[in-house]
Amino acid sequence: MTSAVAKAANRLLGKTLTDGWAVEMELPRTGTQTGGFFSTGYLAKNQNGRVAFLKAMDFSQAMGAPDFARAIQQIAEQFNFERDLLEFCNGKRMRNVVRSIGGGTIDLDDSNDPMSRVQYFLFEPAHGDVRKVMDSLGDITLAWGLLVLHQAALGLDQLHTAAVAHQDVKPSNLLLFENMRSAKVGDLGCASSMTAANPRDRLNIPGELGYAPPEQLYGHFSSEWRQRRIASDMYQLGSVAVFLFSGLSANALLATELSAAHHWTTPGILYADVLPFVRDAFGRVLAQLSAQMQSSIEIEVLKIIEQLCEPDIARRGDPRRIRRGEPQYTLEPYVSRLGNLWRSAEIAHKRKLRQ
Amino acid sequence: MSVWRKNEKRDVIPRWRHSRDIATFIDAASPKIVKPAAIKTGIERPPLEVLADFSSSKKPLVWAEALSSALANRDFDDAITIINSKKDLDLSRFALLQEVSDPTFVSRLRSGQAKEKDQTPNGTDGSKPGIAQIRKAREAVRVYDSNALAWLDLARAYAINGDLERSERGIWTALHFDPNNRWIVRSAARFFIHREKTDAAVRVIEQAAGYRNDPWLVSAHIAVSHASGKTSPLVRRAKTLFEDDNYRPKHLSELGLALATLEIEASSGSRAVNKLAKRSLRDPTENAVAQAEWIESVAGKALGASDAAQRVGNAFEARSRELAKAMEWQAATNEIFHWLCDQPFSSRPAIDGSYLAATFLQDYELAEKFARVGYQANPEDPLIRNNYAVALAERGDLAKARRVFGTLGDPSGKGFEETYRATEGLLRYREGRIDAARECYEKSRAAFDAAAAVRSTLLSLVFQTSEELRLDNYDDAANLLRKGEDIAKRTQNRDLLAVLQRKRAELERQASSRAHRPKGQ
Repeated sequence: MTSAVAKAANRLLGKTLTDGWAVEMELPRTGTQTGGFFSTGYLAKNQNGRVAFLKAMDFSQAMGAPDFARAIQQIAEQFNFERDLLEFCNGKRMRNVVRSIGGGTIDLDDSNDPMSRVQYFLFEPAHGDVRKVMDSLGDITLAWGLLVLHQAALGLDQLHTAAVAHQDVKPSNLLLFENMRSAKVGDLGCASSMTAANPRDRLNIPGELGYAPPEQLYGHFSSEWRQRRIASDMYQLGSVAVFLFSGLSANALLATELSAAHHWTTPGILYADVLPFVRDAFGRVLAQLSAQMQSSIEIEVLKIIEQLCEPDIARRGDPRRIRRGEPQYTLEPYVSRLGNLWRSAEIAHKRKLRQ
Repeated sequence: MSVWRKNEKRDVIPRWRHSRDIATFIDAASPKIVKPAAIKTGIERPPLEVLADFSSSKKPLVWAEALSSALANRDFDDAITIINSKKDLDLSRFALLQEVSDPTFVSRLRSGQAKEKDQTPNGTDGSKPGIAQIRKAREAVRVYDSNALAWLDLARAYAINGDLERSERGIWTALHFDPNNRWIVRSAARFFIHREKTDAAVRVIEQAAGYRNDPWLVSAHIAVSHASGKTSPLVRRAKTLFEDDNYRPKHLSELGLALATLEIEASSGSRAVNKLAKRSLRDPTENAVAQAEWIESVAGKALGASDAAQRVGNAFEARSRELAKAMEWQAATNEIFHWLCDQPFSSRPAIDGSYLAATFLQDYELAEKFARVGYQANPEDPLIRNNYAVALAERGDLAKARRVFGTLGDPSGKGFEETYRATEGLLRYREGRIDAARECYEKSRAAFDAAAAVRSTLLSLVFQTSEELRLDNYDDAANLLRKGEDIAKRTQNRDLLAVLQRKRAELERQASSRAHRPKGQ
């Protein structure tokens, strides 16, 4: 039974959903997968020719779990959390968060078998995620990179204002719309809300390991929600910036500069003990980036990276705010700084084209 | 040449290393045994088979993200597989990505080879001492100015160059950014000992939060206090910490030997020392091994330091002492060279290295190298100035020797007047003022004799013999040798007796070749 139902979410191709959407194409699995909660992506089209991205949830994996009841409860809780959160975000009209445009349930056959039932979300379709768009564009401009970062910061700030932290910010979760001139954050499956519990909140590292902030990697967890959650989003946004300008995540560069004895995979290391060495390695990462980022705008971007990716959680954020004793775990100052830098880069780019 | 300070007082003063080297010397794990936290992660890395698609569909950034993930987690096999899958992906946009997309880079990372490692202390390779190190350290603090370790490295680079004012500013800045971290605090304490500001050394330790519960800081407190002639009030606390089985043995080794040093001084019995040393040497740091070796020399009995010195890869100081005791001068000097590379600002390896090289190997070029590094960092140290001047004079650079040496008299007033007088004798020999030179040597020897400083007397005889031999004054040389050999035999100074016997062979060789030389030549 498990093997048959295990593929439930993979059997949607060619089906027509109850609300008239026809499932036309299964998308290849190219990114990371949500551990313990698999989903399959499709493209669907309605009668008006509108295309949507369909995310089909695979509940059947719970069948294979040693504690079936617990597994199904966890998956259901997680699904409901994401559904409620998407509705909440839609209600808040968050312009830079990917909107859900529908969702529901479909029975794959007439067996009335609950494991042949698939629940799904429909999202506005994107041109692709940042990596794929960058790959297809070939040579990207500084202005475009800053546009993406600015809009990602906007999206995250919109979530943060609503007391929601994304927790899995990475290039594959930044989606491009409107002829690649608009970026939105997608996939709220790992999000954390101050007002609603996500089963993932129990995980030490709710998002992808490769983008997790050092405090999570070394097992340090603050009890204060903003420090634990918003600070993590800030680090991950900084890491995306590093990726856009270097092709490598901040954690990859950090790992190449850290000795094995100080690396987070070495057991028995405490965050407080290792922090000076992580900061020192981060200094070398910054030096490497600094050698690549020479223009005045890039230097400003590097300062933003330094503040967002600061390994010491107590120092992360805008130093002026920290000095003034204002809340430091916010992307608000970075939204305006990245916006200004994007506009400057855009003007510089256009001027260069005219010459 | 100043006397190698056998059994001179030693404390387990913390080492001060470049930030890159700390991990290779002392593991970074918490002093307490910590159960590894079960890190529950929510996201899995993509399976490797997916990567084939990345490569064939020519999506370099999708590929790069997979590589990032593998590198971040030190999954080197995966990283190499990913790199080998890149085929003709165009990575030209990203210089850093290109650099890491190389299997040899990943292999180097796997083997723990640092990207760069400076194993040459200041100036021993003939380059302008330390300027490059300072420039590099300054660049590191420019790029990331709140990096406490980068400030510490800058301070160290200045200390190596003898600029203690700037070095101290770097130390305070590092402490400003991270006043509680044990490595920063211990390094700062080491600096203040180097600067002879022992009160400041004690103060920075006491200002670190929770210092009483950290065996590294308690050990530093005891050692630094003892070095300044005081007893730390933390001795009882140290004993409690030392008995706590929740600490890893390596993290207690210096603490145990700091306590053993106090026990030796208090002469409170060898059982306590034995117990402390044995427990401390289970998994010691190199500094602990060196301290154990010193305690062995003072106590006159084996505590296991020799075995530990062989076991601990970087126990350069301890091994150099062991080898010197065994009169294996070349090997001892090699170990001292590594010790100097590790602690280039420290005067001890420079003094010991220059002394061994000049006295026992008669390798004055090497002696000059050791002394030059020491002089750069410690231009006011009387013994280094003395040894540097001797090495320069022996190499024939009399003008520079004179400049370094200055005028007769110990500039520090620390009781090296007679050593200085002997060196003044050497310089006068080289200046052709033979009678004045002999007078210097004789006066210094009279003072050494009066103070029962036998080794100083012997050294003075060794060096004066060399000068008389250089002048072909065989009778005078033979008289000096005879006197020296008598004293060395009587006082059982085997090492210097060996040097004197070598001089005798030299004398006989020279005298015989002169006897066979045709008249008139």
